[in-house]
Amino acid sequence: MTWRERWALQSRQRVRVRPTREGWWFLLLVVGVTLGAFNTGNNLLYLCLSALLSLLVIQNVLAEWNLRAARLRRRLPLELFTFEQGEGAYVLWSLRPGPALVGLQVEELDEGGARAEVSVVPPTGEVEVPAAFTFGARGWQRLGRVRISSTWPFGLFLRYRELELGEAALVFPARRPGGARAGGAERGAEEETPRRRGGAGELLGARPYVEGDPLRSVHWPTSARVGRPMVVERAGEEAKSWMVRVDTQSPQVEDELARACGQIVTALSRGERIGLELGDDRLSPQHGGAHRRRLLTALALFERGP
Amino acid sequence: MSPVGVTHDGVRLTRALVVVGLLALGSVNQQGAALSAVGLVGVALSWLATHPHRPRVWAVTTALVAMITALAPSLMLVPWASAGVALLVYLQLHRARTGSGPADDRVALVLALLMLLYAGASRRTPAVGLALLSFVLLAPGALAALELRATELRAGDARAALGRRGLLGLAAASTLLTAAFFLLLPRIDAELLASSQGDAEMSGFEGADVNLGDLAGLQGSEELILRVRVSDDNNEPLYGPFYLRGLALDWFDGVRWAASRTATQRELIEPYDFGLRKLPPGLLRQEVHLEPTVSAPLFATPTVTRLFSDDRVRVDELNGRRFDDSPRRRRYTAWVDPRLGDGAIQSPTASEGRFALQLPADLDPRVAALAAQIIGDAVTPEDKARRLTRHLRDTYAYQDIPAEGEAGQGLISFLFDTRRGHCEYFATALAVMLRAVDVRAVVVIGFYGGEWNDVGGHINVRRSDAHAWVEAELSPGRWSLLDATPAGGMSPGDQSLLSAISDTATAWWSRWVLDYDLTSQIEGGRALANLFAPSGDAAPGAPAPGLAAATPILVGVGALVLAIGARGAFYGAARGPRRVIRPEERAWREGLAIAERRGHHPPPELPPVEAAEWIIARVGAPARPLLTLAWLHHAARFSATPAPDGAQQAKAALRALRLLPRAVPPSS
Repeated sequence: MTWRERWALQSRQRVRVRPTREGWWFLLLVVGVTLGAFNTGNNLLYLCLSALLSLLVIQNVLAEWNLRAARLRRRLPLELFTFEQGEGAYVLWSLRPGPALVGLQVEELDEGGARAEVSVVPPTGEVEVPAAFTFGARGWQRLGRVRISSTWPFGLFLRYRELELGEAALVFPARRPGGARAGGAERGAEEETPRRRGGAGELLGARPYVEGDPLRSVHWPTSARVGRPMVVERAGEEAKSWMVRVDTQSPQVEDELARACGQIVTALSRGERIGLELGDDRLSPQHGGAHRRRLLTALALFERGP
Repeated sequence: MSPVGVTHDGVRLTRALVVVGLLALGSVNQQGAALSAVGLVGVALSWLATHPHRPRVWAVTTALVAMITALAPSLMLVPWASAGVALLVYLQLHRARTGSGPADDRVALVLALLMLLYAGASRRTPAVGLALLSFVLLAPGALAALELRATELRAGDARAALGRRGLLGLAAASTLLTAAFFLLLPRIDAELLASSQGDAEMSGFEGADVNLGDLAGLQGSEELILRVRVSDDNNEPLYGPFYLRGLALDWFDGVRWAASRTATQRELIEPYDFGLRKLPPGLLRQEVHLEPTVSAPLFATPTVTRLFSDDRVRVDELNGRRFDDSPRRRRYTAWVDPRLGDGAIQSPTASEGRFALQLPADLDPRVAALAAQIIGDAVTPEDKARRLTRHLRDTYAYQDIPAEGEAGQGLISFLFDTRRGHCEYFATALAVMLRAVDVRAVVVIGFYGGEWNDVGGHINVRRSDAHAWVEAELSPGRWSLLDATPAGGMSPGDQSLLSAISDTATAWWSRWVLDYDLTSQIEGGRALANLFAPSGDAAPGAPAPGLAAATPILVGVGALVLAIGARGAFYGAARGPRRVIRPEERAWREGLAIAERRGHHPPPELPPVEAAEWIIARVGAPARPLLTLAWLHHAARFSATPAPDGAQQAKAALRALRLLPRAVPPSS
């Protein structure tokens, strides 16, 4: 990082102050009382001026304290889909052992559009406040500057600071519901016949729950015994296999990706095995959370060649 | 202390300040009192009323009132100030009736502050000061509690943020800083715009002329004129009563006493002289606090041998000593020589006696005949004076305020018809008769007596203590004080305890708040310098600039240092302990640096794990240790229980990373 970049970064992270509407009136009053006191030499006006200046100083000290002691990090949602609110969070904590931090507002300045407000962060404690992240494009999206601000303690000045929390979020395409053969995200031909695993009703075994497994498949007694969610596989359950093909040459490739995304999410949530054909890439049908992420990542990072 | 209820304290504190503002407004004048009463009743009803309000009706009414208030001064119906005050009160009522949120309460605070400002600019009484002090104490807490309430409305419970102890802390900090600013802000009386001096209503000693009977107007008032503390060499207070000399008048035309216009005035050379010369022992010290007057004479018992004052003093050789004309509250210390003795004082003003034998041209011959009859066979001026004084005391009656129709009676009427009057008549009669028998005499007006204040240790002198007496030359070059007024007209007394406490508080307020000016600041600065480099030749009893004078500066600087120290402590605490960087984190940075040195530059926005995967996707298995490092970094940075052998694993991964191949240049 060059010294210019470093200087620019420090300059951005500097605490800045902007009067609120009441703050402007307050400043006007201070100027008026100053003129009156200096003009007349009236000590009661000097007393008023002193009181107003002391309010300014206290405001400055407490607000600076409030903001400088605050630390922040994002907790991004596991999955983010374009144009959908992802329920993430901001984690704020206080470095200060003294009084609590009050009325902190957090706002994304670059991408993500999330904002949140926390009323109190206890001394040296941590508070997680929910925030909705929304992105307008798929792929790696850079989450950059976050503005943390507060009008504490008197509501006369908004004090804010921009923090550079360089982070990237992988945003999947929008989830668009599509019919069986809707758009270019066609449900392809069955690649293989439904597999039958053993006889009907026969217990085949248990495996850990992965994201995408239907909740009803969780076997709660086993889960309680093992200590984590377990899914029981029984004979007679059929697992369909599908391929989703995306027409990457279509002029509306984004729509194609969105429909494919919708189909993948829906199918996997039904416990179906699903694969993906995306240009030259081909991912064979499987199920489970890892596969779901692989498919969605492929959709998110798809780039059409020249 | 429990934080519960702090957010509601904002409303209570705001209401308290609203009441304080209205009360301060009421202390300004009668109109202010009426408006204040209306406002207080109105806001009280608004706070008590439970039925739903009608904001629209109030909004329309506000618009109408604002319009009328704006038009009224333009149409010369009421002065601007009155219209403004009425509007302030109405807006306060409007807010109390219609608003209930934190923003409304903030507006109420601003309105209360404006009322306090108006009161402070108009009146400088301790009551207004008390109201301002309430603002200093309560406003920070009120504003903070209101902000908490606003935060609660937006983001949930915020009671834990500030307890009542916090409110007290805010009040203490505000008081400390206000004191610091008040004491250290330079006093500039620029007078660029119209300057209101106020509090200069005292009359009676403005000019050099006094009509016979004028003093009766002063005697009807209990207004405080000055406070004086007289002490001896050992700083023991003397209780008096004392004759505090003001003006010496040597020209009498039958109706009016005047000072000779031929006197020259020169500036006293010692106004800022804090006793660099030694004073002889045995002098009485008089510390005088004089209330503002238009043109103040210097009141002190005769004979002043030394004077210390913050102000420039002019010496009028025939009339006395006067301050410059600007009306303001003054402090001075005068030393008088008591060894000159009672009745043996040397008049500092009429020493030349140029007009001390002047008589009105049309003086009734009966006056001279009466004087001759009274002195009889007395030869010496002393005998003549004694007989005349005794005669007036014994045969004439004192009447404080002449009855209706007798006000402004002439000397002849007093001597031959009514035979009663106040001190001015006795003094005039004595002076004129003394002159008629060839004894030089002048009339002196000033104050006599007063009330001893046990709490403050000083004598309060009021307008009703105004007095007139005579100074006469009873032996060549020696002037004596003669008072022909019967004793019933002069009755010094003591103050009640309550009155003494109130008076002392007022004196303190005047001394430390109202009178604190640039001179006090300079004096404080000099005193501070003197503390470090004392001159050592101060006069005995002189107000040598010591710790007392430096107190304001010291307090101000101390308060500021405390505030700055607190700020530093805040920041120190805010920074908190530095975060310990674990070896796994350092190892990741090192590993990434290795990868970058070998030409693998992942996009900078990628987090560690993604960056490692990005490199693995291009390099393959040799880059796998980087992923290990990334996960170790992640665990060390964010996990509550990082791997115990993380450092060893990181070291091993770093060793393995040495096999990472260089990136292939795009050309090949």
